[in-house]
Amino acid sequence: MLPSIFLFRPTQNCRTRLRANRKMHISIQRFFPSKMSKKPTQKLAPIQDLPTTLLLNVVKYLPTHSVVALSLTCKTLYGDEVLYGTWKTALRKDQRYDASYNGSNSLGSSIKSLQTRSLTRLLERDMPSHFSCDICSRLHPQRDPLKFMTRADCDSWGACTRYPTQGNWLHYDTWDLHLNFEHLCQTFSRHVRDTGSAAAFIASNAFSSGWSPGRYSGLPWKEKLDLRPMVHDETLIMHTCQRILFNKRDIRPATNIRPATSCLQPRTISSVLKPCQCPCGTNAADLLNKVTSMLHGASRKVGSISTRLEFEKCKTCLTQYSANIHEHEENLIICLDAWTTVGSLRRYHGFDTKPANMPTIRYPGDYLTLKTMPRFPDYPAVHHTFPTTVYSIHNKPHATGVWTGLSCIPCVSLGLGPTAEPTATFGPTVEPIITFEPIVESMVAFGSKFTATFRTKSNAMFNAHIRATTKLLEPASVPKFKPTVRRPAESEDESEDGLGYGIRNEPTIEHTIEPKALPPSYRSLFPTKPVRQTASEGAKPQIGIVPPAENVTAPPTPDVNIPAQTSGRGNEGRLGRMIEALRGMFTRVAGRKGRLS
Amino acid sequence: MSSTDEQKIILVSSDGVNIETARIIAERSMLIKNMIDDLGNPGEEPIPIMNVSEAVLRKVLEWCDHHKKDAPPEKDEDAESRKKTTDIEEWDQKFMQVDQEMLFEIILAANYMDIKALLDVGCKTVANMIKGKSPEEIRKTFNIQNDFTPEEEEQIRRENEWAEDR
Repeated sequence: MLPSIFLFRPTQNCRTRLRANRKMHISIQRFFPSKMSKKPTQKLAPIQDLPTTLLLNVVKYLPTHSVVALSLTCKTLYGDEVLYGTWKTALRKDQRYDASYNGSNSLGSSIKSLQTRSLTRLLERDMPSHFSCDICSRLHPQRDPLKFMTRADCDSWGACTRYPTQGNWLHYDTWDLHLNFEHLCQTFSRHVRDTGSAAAFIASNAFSSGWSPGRYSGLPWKEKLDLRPMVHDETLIMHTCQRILFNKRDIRPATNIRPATSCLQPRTISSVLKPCQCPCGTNAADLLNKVTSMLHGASRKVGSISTRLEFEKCKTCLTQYSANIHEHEENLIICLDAWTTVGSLRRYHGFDTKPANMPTIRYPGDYLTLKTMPRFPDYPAVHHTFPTTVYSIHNKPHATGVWTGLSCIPCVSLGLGPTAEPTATFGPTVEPIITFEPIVESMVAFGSKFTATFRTKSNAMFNAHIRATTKLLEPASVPKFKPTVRRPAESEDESEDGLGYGIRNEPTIEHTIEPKALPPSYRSLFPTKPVRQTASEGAKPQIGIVPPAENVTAPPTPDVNIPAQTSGRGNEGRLGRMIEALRGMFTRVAGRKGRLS
Repeated sequence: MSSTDEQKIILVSSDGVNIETARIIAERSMLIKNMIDDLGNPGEEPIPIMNVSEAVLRKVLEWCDHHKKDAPPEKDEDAESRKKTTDIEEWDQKFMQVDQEMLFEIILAANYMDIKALLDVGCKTVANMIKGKSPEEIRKTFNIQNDFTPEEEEQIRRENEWAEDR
């Protein structure tokens, strides 16, 4: 036998050599497996023994990607020339639509062939070191991008290494924190595949910055960002809680001629707190006005959540936010909670996705379902259900109707917003060009009804007239993955405070979320049990973004290390907590002394 | 001579067991039908089914018994049934809940005995077992030994341009 280095030179195509050999009247079926390494002969499985004609009879009921998967199981099946010819031809036909893609559109993932994409998704399962790229439909080696990146990182990080893409990002610019949506999708599918629930995904993507000194030097405040993904029916809703803590002594009382001022000038508030990703800044300005008036209003009381801003909806993106001020004895915390419906985390496999009887776009599920004509005669005419994702492109919000798995329609877009202006279609220019002219009949923000009509305009073959209506998720629809929320890693030491400001008088700050703290439209989706009301007068306030205590102890997941003392095995856990409490007291005392001296 | 419906014929399995069955049932098999037509005098001579063992033959006849009143297959059925992999009748699905060895024996027998509908049901069952599975999952399902070395797998990926190095 030849050494394997001769047999597997990467530059030489194995099958080309085989074909050359066939010209020399060597049977390929016999020859091919013998080119591979030999192993002791084993009893063949019944399927390997099946005559080719019968195998073809089986294969004709399979989509191409499954035929390839079957072929890749063993040498006997991979060496079957007829089987090889079946899938190779189909795959080649499928892939030719990739040729004209120039990578100019980061949303161009939809054009790549469905079968190849489905195949790589199947292969991905066997190869933990690789992931299937949604953009180029190839297997890339698993990269380990930082889960949360800075602007500099994400500028250099493309979703696909083959095509220059920007990726789809969730930018929390004011915090210089950027999340990659493709990465989230991949993480989600991996977690769901491995553990069968979204809990691990939520736990591993929760983030807490901890209290840190304000980024503008010389201004004595502390700030904190908490990020928590919420998953409902495979739709990602990102909950952010942005907080600024500062001492009341830095607020100068208002006089008749001058409003109260604080170290938090309007500019600094807006540079830290940002309700949504929309670049227009309307929301930020609006929020600033309200927060300023709340801050300097007269009705604040110590030890309570004195003021709460009503839930506001962004007029362009799917964000709802609310602000409030927590009044402590010496400190104030401005707290901004925002919930952004990011989009569907679902990645599709093949045609058998989610058949629907009527086309619908629904919030917050955002699925666009179209009945489409098949592009190829051997593709079945089925109802496709596509997830939609909302992006802001050139200051205009877009909801792309197509994320993956399209053989028929390259791209669909629709406008979102109160003006209901149809936005221009965008999409990759591949042949055949099928564009949609979206005519939006009416459009109302989150939680309301929404109707849109779309018409194709270029290709007569795909004269699909689509009428889409929205509906809220029915309460009866059971979420596939139960959202189990976990408290983000709390590493901050509240009293370690270089600036002399810390939360005192509250030895243990309870991080709880009140039932009413969720926007109304989410309450039915994420039911929370009523939390005991501790906010009697003068009691410690409740701060936060983190869910009720019963949810806090989520089952441990492989991704998250739970510190020993919190995982609490009886006395050990109690001892750990006591030590922590003592340490906290000590540092607080030390902090006071230090400041006095 | 009794009517065709009541006629009994005797089949002989590969392991030499005689099985008596009604002619109408056995004639779901085009092989038997043609043999009866060729031989004449049905019922007088046992018909040998060379490649099918007794257990499989009984199973096949059970299917034929259930489907004896089905309309004869149409010629254009192929194109129609092409993608309907999940469309297996409930009874057929239960019928096909057998161990894999038997399943493939049934497919081979249906092919040999030329029973197209049964062959389709068998193939659809196998196709449904393959569908949506990764190669490794298919291997587990069908107990296939992975005889590729890691280098060979790498080579295949390169040839088919599924994997990117970066």
